[in-house]
Parts: sequence; C-alpha cells; structure tokens
Amino acid sequence: MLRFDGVPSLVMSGISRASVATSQQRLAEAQKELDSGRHHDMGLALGSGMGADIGLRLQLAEITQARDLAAQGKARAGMTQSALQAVSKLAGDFLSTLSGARGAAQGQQLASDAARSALAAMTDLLNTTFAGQYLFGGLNADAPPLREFAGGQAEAAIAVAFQTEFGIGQQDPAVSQISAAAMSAFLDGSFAGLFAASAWTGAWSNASNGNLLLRTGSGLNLDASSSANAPFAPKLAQAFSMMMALGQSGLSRGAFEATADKAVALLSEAQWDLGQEQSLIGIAQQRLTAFADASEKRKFAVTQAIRAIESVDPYEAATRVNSLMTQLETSYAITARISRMSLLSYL
Amino acid sequence: MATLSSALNYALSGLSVTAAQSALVSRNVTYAGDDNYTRKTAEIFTLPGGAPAVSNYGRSMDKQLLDKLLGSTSDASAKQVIVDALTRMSAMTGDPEADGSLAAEIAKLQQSLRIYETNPSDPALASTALERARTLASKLNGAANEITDIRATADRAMVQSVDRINTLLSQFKVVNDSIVRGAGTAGELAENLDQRDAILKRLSDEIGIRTATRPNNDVLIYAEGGAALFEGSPRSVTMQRTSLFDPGTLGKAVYIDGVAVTGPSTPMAGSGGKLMALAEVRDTLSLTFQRQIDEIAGGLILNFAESDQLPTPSLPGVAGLFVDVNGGLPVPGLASIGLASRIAINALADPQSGGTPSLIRDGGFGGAPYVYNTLQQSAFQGRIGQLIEAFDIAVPFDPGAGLGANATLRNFSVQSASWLEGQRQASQIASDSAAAGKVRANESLLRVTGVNIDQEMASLLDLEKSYQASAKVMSVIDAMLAALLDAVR
Repeated sequence: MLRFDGVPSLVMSGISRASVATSQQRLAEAQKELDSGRHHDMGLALGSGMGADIGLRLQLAEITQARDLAAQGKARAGMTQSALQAVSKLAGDFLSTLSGARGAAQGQQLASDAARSALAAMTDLLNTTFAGQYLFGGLNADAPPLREFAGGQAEAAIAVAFQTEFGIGQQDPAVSQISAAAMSAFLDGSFAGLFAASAWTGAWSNASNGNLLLRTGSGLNLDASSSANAPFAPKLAQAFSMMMALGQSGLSRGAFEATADKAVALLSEAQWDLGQEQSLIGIAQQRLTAFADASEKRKFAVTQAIRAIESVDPYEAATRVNSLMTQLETSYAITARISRMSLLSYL
Repeated sequence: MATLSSALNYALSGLSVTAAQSALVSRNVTYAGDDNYTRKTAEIFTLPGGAPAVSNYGRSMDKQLLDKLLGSTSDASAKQVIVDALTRMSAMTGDPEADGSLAAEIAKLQQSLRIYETNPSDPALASTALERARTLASKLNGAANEITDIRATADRAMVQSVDRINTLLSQFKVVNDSIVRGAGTAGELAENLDQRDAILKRLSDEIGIRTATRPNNDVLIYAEGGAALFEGSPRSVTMQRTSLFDPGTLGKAVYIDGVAVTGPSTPMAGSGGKLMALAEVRDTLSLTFQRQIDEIAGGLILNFAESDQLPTPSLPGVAGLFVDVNGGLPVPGLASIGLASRIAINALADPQSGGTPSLIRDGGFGGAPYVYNTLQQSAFQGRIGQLIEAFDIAVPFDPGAGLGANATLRNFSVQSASWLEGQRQASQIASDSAAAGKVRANESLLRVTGVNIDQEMASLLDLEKSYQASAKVMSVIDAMLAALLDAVR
C-alpha cells in the first residue's frame, strides 16, 4: 500500500489563515502609527512608563497655564504702571501750577481749581479696573478703592477739623486773621492726622493693606500690584485737598504761602514714593518677561520629552507597513497555491 | 482443499473489507476540517479459514500532546480574561494626549483654582472651579461604577463558567461510561474517544485540569489545585451568584465538591482557565484598582477639608468642597472602601442645590468658626492658595493600594495609571505568548491526529485497485464456473 506521511490538511490551511489574520492586525496598527506618528496603543507600548508620560503632559499643561497667567499678570502690571505714571505726571503738573500760583495775584483761586481737578483725576486713575477688578483695591477688589471727595466723609472731616482748630468755618472772612504759624501748626497737627493710616482707610480708601499676589504655578510667586493704601496716595490726597479746601478761602498771604509750601513738600515726597512703587512694579514686569521666555523654553523641552516617549520612528513604521504588505501578499498567494495543490485536481 | 467457491468467498470478503476501508476514507475526508476528529484506520485480521475482515479501528492520538494542549488552552484563556479586564480598566484613562486620566482631571482642578486665585472676586471663576470639581467627582464616581461593573460582570461570567463546567462534566460522564462499558461497535468506540477528548478541550478552556487514565480506559479529571472534578461521576462545582454588587461586596467563592477553590485562603487555588482568571479579576485586580481610586477620592476630600480658624483651634476638621455622602472625613493612609463612588460636591457650594461657589474662596463649609476670609475681602487669596498648595504636599496613602505610601495626590494618581498600564503590558505579553503556545500545541497535536486529504485520496486509489482486482477475480471465477457448467450440461 502507498505510504504517505503528510501534514494534515487542517494544519496546512490553518497556518496561512492564522498568519494572514495576525498580519492584517499588525498592518492596521502599523498604518495607524504611520499616520499619527505615535504608538497605536500608548498604554500597551509604555506600560509602567505611562506615569512618566502623563506626568510630563501634566507638566506641559501647568507650564502653559503659568505662561498664560504670567502674560495676564504682565498686562495687569503694565496697566498699573501706566496708571502710576499718569498719577506721577498729575503730581508734577500740579507742582508747577502751584509754584506759579504761589506768588500770583489770583494764585489762591488758581491753586484751588487745579487741586480740585487733580484730586478728581487721581480718584479716576486709582479706580481703574482690569478684568472686573479694581487695580488699586488690594484684596477688596470689587469696591472703588478711592472714595469720592466732594460731599464725602473726607471733606466733612476736614471742615470739622478746621472748625475745631480755629473756631470758624473755612468760608468765614475771619480766616484772613489766621497767621502762617497757626496754619502750619494746623497742617502738621490735626490736618495731617486726617491722613494717617487708620483715618485714611476710614474716610478715603476702600482698599485693603495687602496686595493681590500673582501665583502662576511653576514657581512664580510675586507682587505686581499697587494699592490705594500705598504711601504716595495719602500724601497726594493731602496736598490736593489742602490746596483745594484751604486755598480757596481768603487766607492771608503768609498763611497761603505756608500752605503751599507744605503742599509742595508733600508732593515731592509723594513723587519719590511713586518712583519707588513704579520701580517695584517695573522689576515685577521684568520678572514676568523673563518668566515668559523661560516658560517657552521649558515648554519646548517638555514637548520634546513627550515626543521622545510617545513617538514611533516613522521610517521604522513605514518599513513595517511595507514588509507586512509583502508578507500578506505572499500569504494570499500561498493560500491560493495550497488550495489548488490537491491530489483531487489530478484524479 | 481450496475450491472455486472458496475462491469466490475470498474475493467477496475482499470486497467487503475494501468497502469498509472506503467508508473509513470517506469518513476521514468528511471530518478533515474538524480539529476534534482523529484520523481513523482500519485494522484488518484474518478470519479462521483465511478470509480477511476489519476487526478494529485505529485512532491516531498522543496523550502527551493532548495534555500539553489542555494545559496551554487553560493558560491562554486565563491570560486573555486578565488582558480583557485590564483593557477595560485602562479605557478609563485612554490616550494621554486626550488628558482623560484621573491625574489630568486633578491637575485641571488645580489649574482652575490657580485662575480663580488671580481674580478671586470674579464669581464666574468660582463657578468654573466648582464645575471642574464636579467633573472630577463624577469621573471618580464613574470609575468606581465601572470597576464595580467589571466585578459584577466577572461574577456573572464565573457563574456561567461553573454552569458550563457542570454541563461538560455530565456530558463527560455519559461518554466516559459508554467507553468504560465498551458499549457499541469498534467504530462507535473510536467516535466516543474523540468526543471525550473534545469535552476535555472545552473543559480546559474553563478551568485548568489534569487527567489520569485507569487501565479500563476510565479517565479521571482533577482541577489544577488538586480538587477532583470527575472520578467515575462528576463532582458538583458550585458558586452562588451575587446579584447586587457595590464596591464593598465580595463575590462568593467557587466550591468543588464542597471545598473552596477560589478566594484568599484556599490551598486548592489554580490559575488556569477562565474561571480562575475571572476570580482573580473579581477578587484581586479590580479590588486593588478600586482601592487606588478610593484613596484618590479620600485624598481629595482631605485636601479640601477645613480646620477651624478660632484663635485657639479646638474643633474637629470638617469636609470642604468634596464630601463623602455618608458624612465624615476619611482617615489619612487608610482606604475607605467605595469612597470613590460616594464622593460628591458639597451642596453648600453647589448653585444647583442653592449653594454659593465662593465658599471655595471664603471657607466656612463647617459654619462660622471655619470661615477663613474673616475680613470678607472680595479678592481673598489665602484659602485658595492653601488649596492649591495642598495638591503638591505629600500625604500618606494606604499601602494596600499597592502604590507609594507617601505621595502628593497628583503623583499618586499618576502612579495608579503606571500601575495599571504596567499590569496591562505585562499581561498582554504573557497572553500573546500563551496564545502562541496554544496554537503550537494544537498544531503539534493536529500533526498526529489530523487528516491529510491527499493521503486519503491516495488510499482510495489503492482501495479502488484492490476492489477492481477482487471484482475481476469474481468475474473470472464466474466465467470458470460457467465453463464448468457448460461442460456438464
């Protein structure tokens, strides 16, 4: 009898069937990797390295956010800076008006009018808002930091102090009798007391003492704000209201000059304080700019690291697709040949 | 003395043997595509008086190769079950590019708090932070439900597997009994043996088994751990289904003949087959993962918990933005089972329940003594700053979760993703190699037992020749007899 030790038919057809199925699956995966440039199944490819990848992605999100928040903070600091500049210019302009008015005939009225408008302008500037927040409000961000002077608590307090000191009202003709020395004593005494810290927050300012801090994450933590409680503000308000409330009345020349001298001294102090405040914010702005640059660099580095972890070599993927396609075609060809290769065809 | 009629008899029995062999070839060809079929051959012996007859059917089988196949089948099925469960768990994380992981959600909450801190007086930012917190809480709830569902599904599949095992064992008894009794023809015996092996193969898909054969061809089946599944009669495999799963529910053990074969303390545990793998998914894998997300939920609740702001603190801490719906605060470093399914947004901060999101800024979830923003500043940053920093402070976690015992909340959740994908990668590799092993074992067995159609066709050619020869002999004898009869007429 004819002996024949062949491979069972099921094994022969089974081999090519199994290899076609796996090749097709691999091909689909390789094509996906070629399209996206990334592993087709990240968890499977990275295994316990997945945490490092997620960690990097979180870091990327954090850096991006820090960069955005820093940019926002920079805009806020810039706005604060320009408001401070405007206040500084206000003080400078008033100073020159005052030196002119000191010796002029209509000087008192002139100084008083200029003071009124300067005070109003300062109130407007310090009540600037940014994204719904009052810039100079500190932590009390939703109330105007500087209250209105005209008709407000501050105006009344000055009137009361004047009345108490001299026994007459500000508009009383008898004010011309007040000596320069008495006026100086009033200005340094009870009038100055109206602008001391607690009186300031009581009558003038709604701002808090602490500033709004900027914390962006990624290590940036700075104070890029100013507040209506900063030293320059009470001094300016004192100088303006001094000239406004006292200058308009019929003071003697000596008393007026004493008042104007006091105002000039206060204004130059305030200008120095403003300079300090501006330079602090300028430093914060510089830090924010430097941080933005550093963030871009870090972002780039982290993005590179993520790519290194997640990417597949495109050339390798392309070669894999090619060789799998060749393999599949061969499998198809072999399957066709094997199925034709049967003794049945020859019987 | 040989006569013409005895020559005719030989030719006749030759025809019947050839017919029987042809029938066998036809049968082999018919079942060539069935991998449970073993190739049959006719064993021919000589009757007293010299005529040939088919006495028995040979069956190509190799016990060792079959045992190898049974082992690799249960190995491959078990590993596939584990991979499927891990893939389902990992789908909750998804591709890191999509930022869908728990770690990413936690980071998003921290980021929304950072934005809130830049402008704490903006109620819209408070609402954004609150919605982030809500998303995170519901993501945790969803993950907890998914894990519970994975466990419930595993439990149902275990019951089905137990049912299948019992059905297969009772089928096995019928077939094994008729083999032991030697009932039926030789052909039927060979078919029964095939059928018995086929049942073993299906059984090994469900549970890892070892077999032993007694001299009378009686087969005994033991589970991997040593419990007897079949000794003359099937032993009962039982498991009580748990109809309602919640995170704290532990599924019931599988018993073989009254002895527990799954569960933490059984000496009879095996690892092969779907049943054992499902038990591992239900009792170990999913529970570890659940403990991890419970700890993440606990960490969140503790992160946002408030302490009293009295001059001399004397009150206990209370839950802040996140609460356990059952009340109370979790204990640091001790997983509270099912916490991830119970974590929710505090109604006091939730506008949908009439709450105010700005409590995140001010504190005071626990009442007046817990208010942080005592000056009622609209841009109060202190509390938000604390909450943001809390994410980056290492806190104790339950070592039972299988991750670091001390980590920041974010790192803990990152570690959890690493753990899961590490398990998945390892089990996928193991599963791929087990599946390949099964294919190889099956192929080796098929090489011994399988039918090659060409071979059968070749045999058929042989048979055709001998049939033609026997027929020719008969026609010649017929002619001779006719000549003889003509002579005597």
